[in-house]
Amino acid sequence: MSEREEALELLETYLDDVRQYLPEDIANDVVEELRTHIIDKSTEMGGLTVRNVYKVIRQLGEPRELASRYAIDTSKKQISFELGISTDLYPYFVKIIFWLTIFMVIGYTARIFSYVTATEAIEISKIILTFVEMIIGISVTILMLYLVMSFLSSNPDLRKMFLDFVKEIFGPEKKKKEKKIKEKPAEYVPEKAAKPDYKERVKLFKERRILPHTPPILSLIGGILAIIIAYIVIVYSTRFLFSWLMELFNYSLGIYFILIGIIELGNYIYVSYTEKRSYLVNVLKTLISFIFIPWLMLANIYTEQIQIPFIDLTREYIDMHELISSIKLIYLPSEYIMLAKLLTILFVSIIIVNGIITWIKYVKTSPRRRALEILESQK
Amino acid sequence: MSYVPELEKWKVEIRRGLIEMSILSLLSKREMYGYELSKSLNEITKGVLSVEEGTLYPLLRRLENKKYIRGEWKFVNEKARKYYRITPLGLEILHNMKEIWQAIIVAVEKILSGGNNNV
Repeated sequence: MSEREEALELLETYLDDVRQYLPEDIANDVVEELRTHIIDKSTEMGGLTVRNVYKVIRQLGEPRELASRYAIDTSKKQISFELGISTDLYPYFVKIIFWLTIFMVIGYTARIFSYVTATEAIEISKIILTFVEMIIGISVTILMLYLVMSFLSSNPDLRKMFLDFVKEIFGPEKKKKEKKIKEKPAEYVPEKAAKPDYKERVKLFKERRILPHTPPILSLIGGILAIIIAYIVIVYSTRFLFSWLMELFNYSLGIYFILIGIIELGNYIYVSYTEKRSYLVNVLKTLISFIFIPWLMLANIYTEQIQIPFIDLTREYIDMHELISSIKLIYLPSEYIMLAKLLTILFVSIIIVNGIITWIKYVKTSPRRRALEILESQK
Repeated sequence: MSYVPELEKWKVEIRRGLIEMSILSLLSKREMYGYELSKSLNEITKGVLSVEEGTLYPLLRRLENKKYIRGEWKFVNEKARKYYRITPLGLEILHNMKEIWQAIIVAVEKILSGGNNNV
């Protein structure tokens, strides 16, 4: 690839990223204008080289930041949401997580310690439960913080307010860092990556692209695997004596994998024929996961109906067949019921949050054609 | 020096409106494309009212939305560029802006010189 081609590739990569975040009705016009600007300025700087293009796009700023200025400037101020934390908020994100984790670990450790010292007989299940609660607590906190920070990153006004607020609190300690940020206001590559030379930075830039094209072959493999799993679930579900709750689970699981298989294979055919990525696949896959919600709700209420496979490891087995046939189903031991209830709630939340995130992402990154269709229908 | 960031913030705030007025003023002379405008602003004001390109283009879009300026794609020297020109509404706004600006300069001058006299 020639230097010019490489420069053009970098330019298009950047413009693609900007386009993703732009309101659909102005995307084409803005991208064209930015393209002429980058070409004009780089040519004036001595030619269309990777170095010059990189310099110009760095001056223009991070794609999301640049695009968000257009979003604010067009008609009404709209609140937007896009996953990902901007480079200026990232250090605060890490710091907050660090301190929150430390506080939570101290808190839970104190609780575990109180169990150990308060009673004569140490209750292992209680300790495990507290430990699991801690892991879940930390994970949920990180997830929530990530969502909040992404929200702040997506809205320049809110981000500025947050930065001003944090700087006011931690101001005196962070003077040096603030200066650094001021000197390089709109850096697309994170600060940490600022050290390598520009070629490496260009590479990093390209790697940071959002929504890469997934090779369709993965969809084909995934689809076949899902169908196989669905088959296994259906066949083996008849071999054991399941409680009504577990039968419902088997049905949900079977239907889930059949649908996933159909979608993945459909996606394979679609991508192979049209050579375009399908934006709908992720949304559909996420929607299908909602099939587990009724089961999870019921499992939360009738937790004692949950069954788990049990293998007696104290005796010896001649072959695999005997081992498999010796698997028995036992009801969930009472000490794990609380844990199971907690996990069902966690899974329901994950499915719902994931659904919301995927939907927002779909709406924000849907192809222009779809948006145009919507606009047409509104007329 | 601890007051420097505050001063920077003040400078940004005070420049914001002035850049809008300057763009309208430049476009009232002749039509220009974005990069040309950016260079003109920088050269004429010797960097005092220079504007980052990442801010300029969205600003132009905003002025366009307000119908103060109009952008049009044109082929000049075999290059397609979006040229902006001021609209009658933009001219009227510019005229009012200039008046307000003159009044502000006079008023602030009075305060500043009056303040000096008292010292």
